[in-house]
Amino acid sequence: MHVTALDLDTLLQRKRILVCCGSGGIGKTTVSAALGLRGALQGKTVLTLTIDPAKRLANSLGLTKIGNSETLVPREKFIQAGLDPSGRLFGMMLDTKHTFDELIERYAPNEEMKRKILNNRFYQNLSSAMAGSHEYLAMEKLYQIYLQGRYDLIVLDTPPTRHALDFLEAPNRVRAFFDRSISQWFLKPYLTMGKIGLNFINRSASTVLKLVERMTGAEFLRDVSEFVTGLADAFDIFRSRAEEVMRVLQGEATSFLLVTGTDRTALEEATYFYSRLQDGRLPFGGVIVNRVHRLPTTENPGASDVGTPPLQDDDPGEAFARRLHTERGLPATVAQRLVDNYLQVLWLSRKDERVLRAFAGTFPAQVPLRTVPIFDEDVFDLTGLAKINAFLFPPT
Amino acid sequence: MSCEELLQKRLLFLSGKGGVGKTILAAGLGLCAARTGKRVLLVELDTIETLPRIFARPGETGPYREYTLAEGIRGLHVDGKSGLEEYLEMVLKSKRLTRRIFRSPIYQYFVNIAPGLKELMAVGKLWDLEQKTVARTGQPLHDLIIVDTPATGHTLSYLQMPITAAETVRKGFVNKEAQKVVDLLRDPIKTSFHIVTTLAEMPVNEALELRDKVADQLKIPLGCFFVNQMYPPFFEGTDLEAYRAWGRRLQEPGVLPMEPRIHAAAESWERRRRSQDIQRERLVGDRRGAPLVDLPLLPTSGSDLELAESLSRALAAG
Repeated sequence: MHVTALDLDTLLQRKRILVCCGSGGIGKTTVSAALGLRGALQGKTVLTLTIDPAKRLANSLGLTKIGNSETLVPREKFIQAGLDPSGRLFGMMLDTKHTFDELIERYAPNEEMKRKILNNRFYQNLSSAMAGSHEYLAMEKLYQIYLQGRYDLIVLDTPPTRHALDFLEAPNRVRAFFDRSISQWFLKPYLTMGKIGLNFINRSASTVLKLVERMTGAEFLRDVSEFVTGLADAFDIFRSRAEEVMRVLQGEATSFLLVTGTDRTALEEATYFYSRLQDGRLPFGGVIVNRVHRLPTTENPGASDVGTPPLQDDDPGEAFARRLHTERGLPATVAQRLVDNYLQVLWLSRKDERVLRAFAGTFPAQVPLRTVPIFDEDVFDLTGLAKINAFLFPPT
Repeated sequence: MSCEELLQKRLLFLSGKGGVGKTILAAGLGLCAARTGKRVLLVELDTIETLPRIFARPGETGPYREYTLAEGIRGLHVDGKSGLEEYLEMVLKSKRLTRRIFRSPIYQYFVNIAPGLKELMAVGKLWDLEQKTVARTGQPLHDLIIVDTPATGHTLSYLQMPITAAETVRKGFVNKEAQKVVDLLRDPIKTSFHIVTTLAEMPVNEALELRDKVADQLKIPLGCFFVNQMYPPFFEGTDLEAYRAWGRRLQEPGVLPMEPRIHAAAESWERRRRSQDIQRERLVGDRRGAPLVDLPLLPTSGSDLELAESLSRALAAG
C-alpha cells in the first residue's frame, strides 16, 4: 500500500489520549513531549505522562526534576525558547511503586489488611515480579487522570520495552494475575489448612506446591497467600478496571501512534504492531519515523546547484574530487575526504528512502506517516522540540 | 584501558541505553578475545536474538542451545523461563514429572508471580556457565563470557534479582542459589560491568545513572565506559585552514555544481562532533575513576560483521 501524510493536527483536535508506542532508543519520549508542546501552543491544557527511571521526559521538557505529581513546565522555559503558548504543558513521571500503593489503599478491605499487605514482602517485590506491571500501571494512571477530566489532551509515553507489543499485552497479563479461579484454588487452602490441606487439593497442584515449598521455603508461600487472601475481593475490581481501561483505549477519544527508526527490524515490528492493534480493536493513528537520514540542505544554494547532481551513490567521486583539487585549489586529500563524506551521507539517505518505500509496500493498509530527520545537535530542550515539530506539523 | 586488561575477567557485562551499539560491541570484544586464543561465549540475556544474524549464522539457534558463531566463539540465548525449566529437570531427574509440571496452570501462574524467579534463573545460568569445566583437563569450558544485556532498566532488575531473592526467600534452594550468584556477581577478580554509551545527552544521562546504581546499589565491580561512535575531527592543521578558506570562497562566482552541498555535509559532521565534545566533557567530569575507552564512528555501509571486525581492530589498537 502507499504512504499518506499523517495529519497530527487533526488527531490533536479530535483525540484526548495519544499513546506513543515503540521499542526503546528511538526518541519516543522526545516525540511525545513534542506532541505535548504542540497541544500547549494551540491553547490546550496538556499532560505528558511517562514512566521512566532515567528522567528523560524531564530532560525533554528542559526541567531538572519532575516529581510523581503533575508539574507545570514554567512559562520562562517557553520564553527562553522563543515560544508563547496560550495553553499549558504539564509533565508527570510515574512512580510505579506509589501507584500500586494507591491501589492497595483504595481496595484493601480494612485498615489491618491494608497495613499487612503494604508490609508483605511478596507485595514489596510484586511490581518487579509481575511481568508487564509497569506497562499496566501506566494505563491505570492514564485512566485515572482521564476520568478526572482536567486535561484537554494526555500524551502517554509508554515504557521502553523489548517489543512495542509488550505494552498491549499488559492488561491481559494483569487479568491473568488477578484470576481468582487459579489464584485461590492454588493458594487459599495453603493458608487456611496449612500443610495438611495440601493432600485435599488435586494431585498436580500438590506436586507443584510441594516443589515450590522445597525451592523457596514455606515462608514465601505464606507471604503470597496472605497477599492473595487479603485482596481476594479486590481482585474482581482490579480485573474489571483493567477491562474499563481497555474500553477507553479502544474508544473514540484515543489514538495509538507508533514511533520508530529506520532500521529494518523496527519497521518490520511496526507492521506487526499494526495488525495487533487491529486484533485488539485499538485505534491506529499512524507511524512517526524518527532520525531519518537526509541530504543536508544548503541555506543558500549556489546558482549552479540545480539539475541532476553529478554525484551518484555508485560514483566513487574521484573525478569530482580531482576537479575540486585542480579548479578550486583544495589539497587533493582534503578534496577526496569532502567528497567521500558527501557520498556517505548520500548513501545513508538513499538507504533510508529505500527502506521506507519497502516498508510502505508491505504495510497491509495505507500508512499515515511522518518522518523526522536526524539532527546534528542533540534534542533535549523546548527549542529542540520545536525543531521536531517543524517536521511533525509542516506548514501546509 | 587496553584490550588485554579488559579481557582478563571471566564474566563481562555490557549495558547501556538502547541503540548505542551494545550487541555489535559485544561481537567486537568476542572477536578480539578469540584472536588471542580465548574460548569465548557470547550470551544474549533476554534480548531479541541478533548475534546469529550479525555472524550470518541463522537457523542454529533457540533458547539454551549453544551454537558456533565463529572460530573460538560460541553463542547462547538465555531467558528466564527456559532457565527455570532446565533447572527443574536437573533437580527432579524425571522428564515425565517435569513435563507434567510445566503443563500445569499452577506452575505457569507460580512462575509469573514468584518475585524474580525467572530473572534469578537466567542470572543463575550465567553462574552455571562460569563453573563449567572441560572434564579431561579441568580447565574452564569458557575462558570468557560476554553478556549482552537488555535496556538498562531490565538489566538492573535482572541483576537485582539474586540480591532480592536472597533477602525475600530466606530458605530453600532459591536462597542458596541466589547467594552463590550474588557472590559471583560481586567478585572483583572474575566479574566486570561495562557501560556503553554514545555521546548524546540521553545515553550519557543513562550511563551515569546506571554507573551509580551498579556501584552503590548492586555493588557489582565497575569496568569502563565504552564511548561508541565518536566523530573524529574532520580536518586538522593546514587541512582545516584550506577547508575554511574554501568555505569562504563558496559565496563567490565560479562555484562548481554540488560544492555547497558537499560543504553542508562537512559542516554537519563538524556540528555533530562539537556537540559530542560537550557530552564527553560531562563523562570525563563525572566518571568516578572509571576509565573511558573511545571507539570511533565506523562507516555504516558494511555489514554488521564487518563493523564488529573493525571495532575489534580499534579495540586491539587501544
